[in-house]
Amino acid sequence: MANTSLQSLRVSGSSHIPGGHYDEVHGSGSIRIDGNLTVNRLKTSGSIRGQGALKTQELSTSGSTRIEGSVEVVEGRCSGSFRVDGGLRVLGEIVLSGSSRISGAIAGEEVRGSGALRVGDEVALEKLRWSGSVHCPGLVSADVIELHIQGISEVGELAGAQIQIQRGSFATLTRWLSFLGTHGHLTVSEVSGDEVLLEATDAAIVRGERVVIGAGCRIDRVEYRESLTVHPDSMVGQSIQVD
Amino acid sequence: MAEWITKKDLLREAGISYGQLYRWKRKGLIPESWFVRRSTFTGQETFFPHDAILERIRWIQGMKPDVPLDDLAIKIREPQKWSERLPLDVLLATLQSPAEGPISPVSYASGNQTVTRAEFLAFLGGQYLRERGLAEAVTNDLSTFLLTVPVDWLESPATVLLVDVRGVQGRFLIVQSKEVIWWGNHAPTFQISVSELWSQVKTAWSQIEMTSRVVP
Repeated sequence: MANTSLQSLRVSGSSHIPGGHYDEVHGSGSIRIDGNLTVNRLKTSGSIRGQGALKTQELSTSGSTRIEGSVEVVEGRCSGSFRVDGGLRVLGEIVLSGSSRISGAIAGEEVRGSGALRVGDEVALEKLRWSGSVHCPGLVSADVIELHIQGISEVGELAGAQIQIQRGSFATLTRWLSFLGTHGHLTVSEVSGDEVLLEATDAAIVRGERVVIGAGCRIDRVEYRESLTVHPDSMVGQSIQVD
Repeated sequence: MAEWITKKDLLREAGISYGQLYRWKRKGLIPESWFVRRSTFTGQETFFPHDAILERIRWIQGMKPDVPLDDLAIKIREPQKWSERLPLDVLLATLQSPAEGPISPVSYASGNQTVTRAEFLAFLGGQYLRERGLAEAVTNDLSTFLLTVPVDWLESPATVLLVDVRGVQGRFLIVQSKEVIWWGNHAPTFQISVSELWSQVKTAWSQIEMTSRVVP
């Protein structure tokens, strides 16, 4: 994608960037992008608002970023507030930290990060590794799902090969909040995986080959094929070994 | 045979894991519409159309293990894509001026005829020769010939040569190259860039699809 004939931009302060194709765009301050932007490398800090779609090889943002269209990124690292009104397609890996809100679906290879992740539609990735809270009304599907839950999380359905939900290590504030009952907890209607390990999870049904129900779970029904282990602190309404 | 199968029974019957099932779903090998959630006495349950999903899984399992899932997904989409039909007159109306391609817009009385992508390509190829005054039998032969060209050849630079051997036209040769060096007395009568024709087919198709997407 590297094309030396493409223009590069460097802006700071309060600026407008016209949409189009660029090699690199570096921006700081309050920046508005008019229209769709295709850029090899986008690096911004401050308040960025894109009024169209964004397609980039390399994305690096800090501060407040809002893209009103969809985002397609190969490699990305975003911190602060990252908001996408469309969907997010990750062709490589994106690391998000802070508050991340994707109104559409997340699809692609790997997403990892920490903080609050809110997805409006569903998640379909190869790997999802997240530490913090996750809200997604639809299916979260990935080969590897590792969630270290801090705060209240709610997901429609989890499915994949390896699913590991663990209560995250608390920061001081959340440790205090945990006394008020707002410590890490996940509510999900259904979990389907080959290797399933759950902590601090409420689920209607858990299906898996090898299932470990760790501490702090309330599961209405478990269907397992090979093995099931249940922590004494957890409640499982019904467990069935299937052929 | 039951019409629907539960996820649990599907895994047992097909001998696959949850990880595989959802990996195939993510890759588009199993349509999302086949995952049907319904309430049962044990809560929510996912059902699948019995015959369709088992046939699809057997097909996937029958493929060589080293074929990437993305390639399998393309194979699944292809038959559906290649069987789509659009009206010939609407497709022809999208063609640009003669300077932009080998085929000029034609006033072809097509009626309500619809064509697939391959049939549209065959029509354009035939039209190309027809405009150059070649006999109907030759243009028909070329159209029939173009229907047999594999899609991966169309996607690469490919040229069809109309060869005149001993005064008899109508022998076609396709080469996977833009340029052809010819030696000898029997030079080809015509060279047609199939890739350019194919590009016109795709452009016409996408223009109509884009227009139809705008309509709510």
